[in-house]
Amino acid sequence: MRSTLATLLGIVRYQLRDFLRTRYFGVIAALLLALSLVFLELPELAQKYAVMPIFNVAAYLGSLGGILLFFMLVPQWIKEFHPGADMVWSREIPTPVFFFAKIVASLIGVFLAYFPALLLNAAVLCYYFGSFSLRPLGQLIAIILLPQLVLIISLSVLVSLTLQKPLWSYVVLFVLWIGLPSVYEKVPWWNISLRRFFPSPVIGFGPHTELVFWNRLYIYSVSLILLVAAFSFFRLIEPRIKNAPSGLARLLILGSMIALCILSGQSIRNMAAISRVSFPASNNEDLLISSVALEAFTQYIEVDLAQEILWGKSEITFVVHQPITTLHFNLNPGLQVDRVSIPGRTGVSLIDQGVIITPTLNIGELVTLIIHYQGILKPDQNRPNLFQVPDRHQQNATTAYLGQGTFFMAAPGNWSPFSESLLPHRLELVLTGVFPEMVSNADDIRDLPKGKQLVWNHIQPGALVALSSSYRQFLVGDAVVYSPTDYEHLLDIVAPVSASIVGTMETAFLGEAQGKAISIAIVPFNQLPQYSLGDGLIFLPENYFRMYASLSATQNYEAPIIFKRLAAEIMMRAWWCQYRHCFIQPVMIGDYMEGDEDAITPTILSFMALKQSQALLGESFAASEIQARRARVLDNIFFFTPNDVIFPSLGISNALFVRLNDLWNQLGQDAFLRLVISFDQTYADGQLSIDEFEQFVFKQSGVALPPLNSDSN
Amino acid sequence: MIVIENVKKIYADGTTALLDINLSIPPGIFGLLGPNGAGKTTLMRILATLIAPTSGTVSVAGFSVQTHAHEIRKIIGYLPQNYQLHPQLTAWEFLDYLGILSGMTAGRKSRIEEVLLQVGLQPHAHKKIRGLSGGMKQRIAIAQALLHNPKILIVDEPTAGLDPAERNRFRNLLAQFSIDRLVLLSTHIVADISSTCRSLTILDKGGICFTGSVADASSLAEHHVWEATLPLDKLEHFQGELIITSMIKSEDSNDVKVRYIDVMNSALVESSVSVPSTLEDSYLYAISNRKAS
Repeated sequence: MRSTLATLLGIVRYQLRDFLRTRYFGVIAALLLALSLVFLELPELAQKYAVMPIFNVAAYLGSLGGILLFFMLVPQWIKEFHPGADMVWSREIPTPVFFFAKIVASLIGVFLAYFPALLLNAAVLCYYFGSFSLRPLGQLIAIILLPQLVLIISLSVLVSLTLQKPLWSYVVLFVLWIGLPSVYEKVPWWNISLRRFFPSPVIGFGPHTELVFWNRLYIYSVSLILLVAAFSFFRLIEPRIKNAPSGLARLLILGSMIALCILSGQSIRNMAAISRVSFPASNNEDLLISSVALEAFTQYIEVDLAQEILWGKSEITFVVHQPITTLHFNLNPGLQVDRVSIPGRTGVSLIDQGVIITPTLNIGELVTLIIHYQGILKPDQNRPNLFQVPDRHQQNATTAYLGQGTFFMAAPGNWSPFSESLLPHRLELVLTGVFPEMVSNADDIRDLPKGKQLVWNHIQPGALVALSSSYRQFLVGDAVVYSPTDYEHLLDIVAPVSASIVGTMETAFLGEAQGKAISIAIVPFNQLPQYSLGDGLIFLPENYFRMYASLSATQNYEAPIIFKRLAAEIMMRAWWCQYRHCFIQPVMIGDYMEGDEDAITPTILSFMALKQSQALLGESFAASEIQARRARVLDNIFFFTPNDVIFPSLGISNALFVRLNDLWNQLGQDAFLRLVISFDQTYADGQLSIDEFEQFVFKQSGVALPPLNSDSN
Repeated sequence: MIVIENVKKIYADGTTALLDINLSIPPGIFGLLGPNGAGKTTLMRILATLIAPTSGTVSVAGFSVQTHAHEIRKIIGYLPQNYQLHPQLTAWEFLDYLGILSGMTAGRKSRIEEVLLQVGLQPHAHKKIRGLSGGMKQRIAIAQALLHNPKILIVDEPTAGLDPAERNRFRNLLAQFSIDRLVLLSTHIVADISSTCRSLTILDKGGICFTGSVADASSLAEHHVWEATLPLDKLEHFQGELIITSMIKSEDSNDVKVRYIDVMNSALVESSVSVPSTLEDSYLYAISNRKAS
C-alpha cells in the first residue's frame, strides 16, 4: 500500500512536470490570466458589488477557459498511445495506478494553469474589498468553477482516449464544449450536462440552493461516469497484454457505474421537481456570504435643487453574523462623508475605505450605523438611470465597499452613499426650493417652509404600464378599469430597443400622449427611474420590464408579445389592488411550488390577465400558453425553450392555471368573474390550500374544479 | 530461460509476422539476426508482453506471457527499436520516472547514477533530453532497460545510431551484464552478434532459418564462399546470379576482385578460389538458401 502510494505520487510528479514544461502550459496560463483580467472589469471594479465580478470570473474562466484546457489535456492523455511508448508499457506499473495518477496530475495541472488567474483575482479583490472577499471567491470557485473543470477534464480524457488523434479530439471536444453547461443560455438536447448549469444562490440570485446542489451533484456524477468509462476504455486499448481483471474489479466497475447512473438519474428528477421553485429565490440562509444581514435601512435626503447640493443621513440596522471590526464601504465618490457613528458606542471611525469599530461587533448583535454625508447633484439624462454614475478616477473622494457583500451593492449613485444598493426600507426626501410635481406614491407629503417633504415607508417598485394605464380602460367583466390595448403602440415601440434607451422613449411617448412635456422627477432610485406626468402621476418601470427589454434586444425574441403579456399581468394586479386596496405586488418570474398556499391568488390573476387580454395577445397565443403550462406539469418539462420566453414564467401554479382554464370553459366568463369576486370576499388574505379552493369552487358554482388532464383546451 | 513453442503471429490486417516459431533461449547473450521485416521486433514485443501471439505458447522464466504478463514485466528490461523519450525531462528525471513505473523504491537514485555511469551519460544527467544528441538519447534508452537490474534483457537494434566507440562500449556492457542473466539481442548488424553472442537464431520472413552456436552459424556457408578476379565489364553479368559480399577494384588494371556466395555450391566464375566463410557470409547464405528453397 505504502509503495503503491509512493509509486502513484512519483508518477503524478513526473506527469505534472511533463505538463508544466510544455510550451502550451505557459501560454494557456497566460491566456487564463488575461481572461480573468477582462472579466474583473478592473476600471469599474471599485464601484461594483464584489461578488458579481467574482461570479463572472468563476463562470467564464470555466466555460471559456475550457477550450484552452483541451490543448493541454489531449496531448497529455494520448502520449502513451503513440508508437514508441513501449518502454512504459513493458514495465510492471498496474493500469489502475497509472490511470489514477494521470487523473490526479491532470487535476493539479489544470489547477496550476488557473493558479495565476485565481491569485490575481484574490489580490485584486483583497485590494478593493478587503480580505473578507476571499471567502466568496473560494465559495464561487468551489460552486461554479470547479464543477465545470471536472466535467471538462473527464470529457477530455474520454474523448482523447477514444479518438487518439489530437485534431479529431479537438474538433469533437469543441463541439461538445459549445453545449457545455453555460450560465444563462438555453441548453440543446445533446448537451452533456442535459440541464442548465444553474447559477448559485450564493451570490444573491439564482435558483434554490437545493436545485444548485442537485445540479452540481448531477454534473459530478456524470463526470465520474465519464471517467469510469474512460478507465475501462484505457484498459481495453493499453498496448500490452492484459491480465483479465478480477471478478472483484469487474464488480466494482459495474457497481460504481450503476450507482453513478442512479445518482445522476436521481439528480435529474430532483432538479425537475425543485425547478418549479420561484425564481429568483429568496435568500438562502445556508449560503449567505454576508458577515452581517440588513435589518432596516432608512435614508434621509435633503436636496436643494437650485443650488444642486444635498445633505443626507443613512441609518443602517444590521445583525452581526460574524465577529467584525471593520465595515467596508464603497461610498459614492461624489459625496463627502462627514461622520459615521453607532449610537451607544465610541470608537467608530471612517478610515480610508472602512468603518473601524472597536471593540469588535459580536455575533447576534443588532447595530445601527449612521452615516452623515453631503454632495453635489449631477443629473445626467444620458444615463439609463437618469443619474450620473460618478467616475471614481475623476474624484478624490474615498471609495470603499459596504459590508463585503452585506447589502446588494452596485455602482454608486448620486444621492445615497451607496445607492443602487438595496432600496431603503424608508425614505425621507426633503426638496428645498421649487419643485413642481412630486408624488410617486409617497405615504406622506408635507409642505415645509423650505420646500416639500416626502416619506415612503414601504418602497416598492411600481409598474409602468399599470400606473400609466390608469388613464385608460381595462375591462374586467362589466367594470371598466384599464385598457391595455391603448398602450399597444407603446409596447411595440419599447420592445425592440435596449433597456438603455427605453426610458427616453417612454418619456417621449408619454409626453406626446399627454399633450404636454413630461418632467423627470429626480428621485434617487437609480435602478427604478421615475417619471412625473404633469398632473402628478408618477410611475416606475418594473425591473422585470427592463429585464425583458434587455432580453428582447439581445436575443431577438418576440419581444412585443412578451411585453403585452407582461403588461396584461401587471394591469390585472393593478386592478386587483385597486379593488382590494392593496399594494401592487411585483410580478414574480418563475413558478410557485404546485399547491403553494401563496400561489392561488396570483394564479387566478394571471389566468384572468391572459383571458382578458386576448384581444391584445391573440386567441392562439392564449391557447398555446395554456398548452405549454399543461405540458410543464404533465410532461415534467422544464427546459428553456423559446416558448418559455414568449410565455413568461410568471409566478403562478401551472397546474392550477390549467385547471382554471378548464373551469372557465365550463362556467363561462361571467360566472367565473363572480366566482373570483366571491373568492376575494371570502379569502381576503388569499391563503388557502388547493383542497380548500376546490371545496370553495364547488360550493360557490356547483361545479367541481376540473382535474388536470391533457385533453381539454 | 525463454521457451517459445509453435508461436504464430498474424496481425489484424492479415500480415503474417511469425510462422510456427520454436525456440529455446538459454541464459547468456543470444542473438536474433534477420533482415528488416523478418519478424524480430514482433517476437521481441511478444516476449516483452506487449502483444500476444496468435497461437502457440511463450514462457519467460517459467511464466506464460498470456497469463502472467505482470510477473514477466517485473523481471525483464526492454529496449524497443523505436522509442519516445520525454524531451521536457532531463536524463536523470526520465530514468527516475521509468524507475518508478518499474516499482523501484529503495536504491533507485543510486542505481540511476550507476547506469548513467555505465552508459557514459553522467555529465549530461541533468540536461533536458531535447537538447541531447541522437547517440546520447540512444544511451538513455539503453540505460532505462538496465535500470531495474532485470533478469532478462531484451534489446531490439540497440546499436543503431551509435558511433563505433559507443557501439564497442555497449557490447562490453552487454557482455558484462549477461553474466547470470539472459540477454536477447536482436539486430541486423552481424558484427554485433559475432562479437557478443555464443548462439543465435536467424529469422527471415517470420520463419527460423537457423538456430545454433555462432561457430556453427559461421560454417553454414562453408564451401559456398568464393573469391575471384574478373574484368569489370563482366561483373554486371554475374551480379544477378551471385551474392557478391565484397568487391575491390584493382589499382593497376580494369579487373575487380570479388567475394561471392554461390548457393548452388558451384564456382560460376572461372579461377574462383574457395575461402573460409564468416558469420556474415553464413547469414546471407542462410537467407538466400531459404529464398531458393
